Amino acid sequence: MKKKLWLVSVAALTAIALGIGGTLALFSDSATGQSEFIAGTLCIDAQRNDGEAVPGPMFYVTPEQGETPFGAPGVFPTGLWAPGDEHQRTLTVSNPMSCSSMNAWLDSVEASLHAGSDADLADKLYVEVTTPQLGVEEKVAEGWLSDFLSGPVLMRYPDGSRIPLYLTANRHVKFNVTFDLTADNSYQGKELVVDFTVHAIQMDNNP
Amino acid sequence: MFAKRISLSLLAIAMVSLVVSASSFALFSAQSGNADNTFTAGTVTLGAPTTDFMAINNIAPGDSGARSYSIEYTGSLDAWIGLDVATTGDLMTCDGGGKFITSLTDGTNTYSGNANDQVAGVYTPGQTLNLTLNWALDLSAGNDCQGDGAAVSLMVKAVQHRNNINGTGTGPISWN
Repeated sequence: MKKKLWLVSVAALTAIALGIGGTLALFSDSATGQSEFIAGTLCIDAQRNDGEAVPGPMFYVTPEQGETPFGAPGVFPTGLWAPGDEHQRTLTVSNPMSCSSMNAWLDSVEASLHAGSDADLADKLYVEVTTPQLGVEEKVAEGWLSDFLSGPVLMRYPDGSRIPLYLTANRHVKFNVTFDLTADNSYQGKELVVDFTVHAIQMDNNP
Repeated sequence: MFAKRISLSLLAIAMVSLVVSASSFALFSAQSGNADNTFTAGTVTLGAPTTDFMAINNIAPGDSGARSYSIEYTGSLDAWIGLDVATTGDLMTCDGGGKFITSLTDGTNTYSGNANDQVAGVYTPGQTLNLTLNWALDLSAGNDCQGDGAAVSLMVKAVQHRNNINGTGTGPISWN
């Protein structure tokens, strides 16, 4: 008898529970939140900027060497270099929104040598790289061209701080090259061709 | 056994540290550059011959003569051309000296027959230096000069003009 009573109680509770369940199933809704994660991009562009057509090299001996792919000749040839000569050219580095989405630091600069060049001439060409800091042109990297050929040379302000290149902004970077006066006759007629490369790195989470 | 376990543990920690370090440097980066920058050193060269030598013998008081010399500047940079001239021999000192006289001229300027580092001017590529060496034994030369001889040696040299100009602009700071 007790067993029957217990079974009836269980059945009743089950029915109530189902009833409640059915009631809760009436007015319900759900929403799915979709989270999207897309990595940003960093790209920079660099063009000579001394008032002549681009693209083209900063340093060239003859107007023909400095011409653009469209045939516009270079306007500021250095001419043949003599010991003691010094020439400065400008590279404008930009962080365009067309392909970039983040602020950056200009981190380093290096050079690579073209085949057939007289590499030892790089031991007598001194490179100074400058860029403005609070409106004042500051040296951020320097060394013999051979140092730049050996690998990236860090770009830092004299106080050790890094060089910002904000998204959509651009920055003038000047390259000042001096042919050392100690270059003797063994350097006469030598020629080298180099590519300069500027490296940038993300600014966020990278103080 | 215990030491080996410690070593293995340290090794594992080191490897993990390396992995962590490596991942720390995996920042986004980009690069751009400027290609085909050309640097060509110019040249400072002279054509041949850069030296000349003249021996003078069997001359008598009152004799004189001339000898021409030409040299092309074949370098690609503008250059100072210089002359080192030396006249030697007993004719230079006989009878009290000053009886045998030499001089050089390029038609405009006259140079000493016995001096170094004489500036002939700034020459551009392809320009030629034409010199005439004049010599004379003065009529007043006495018997002391009999049998004496003289020799004139000329050396032409060149050095870059740019970045090598003295304070007065009349010559190079250095010839080498």
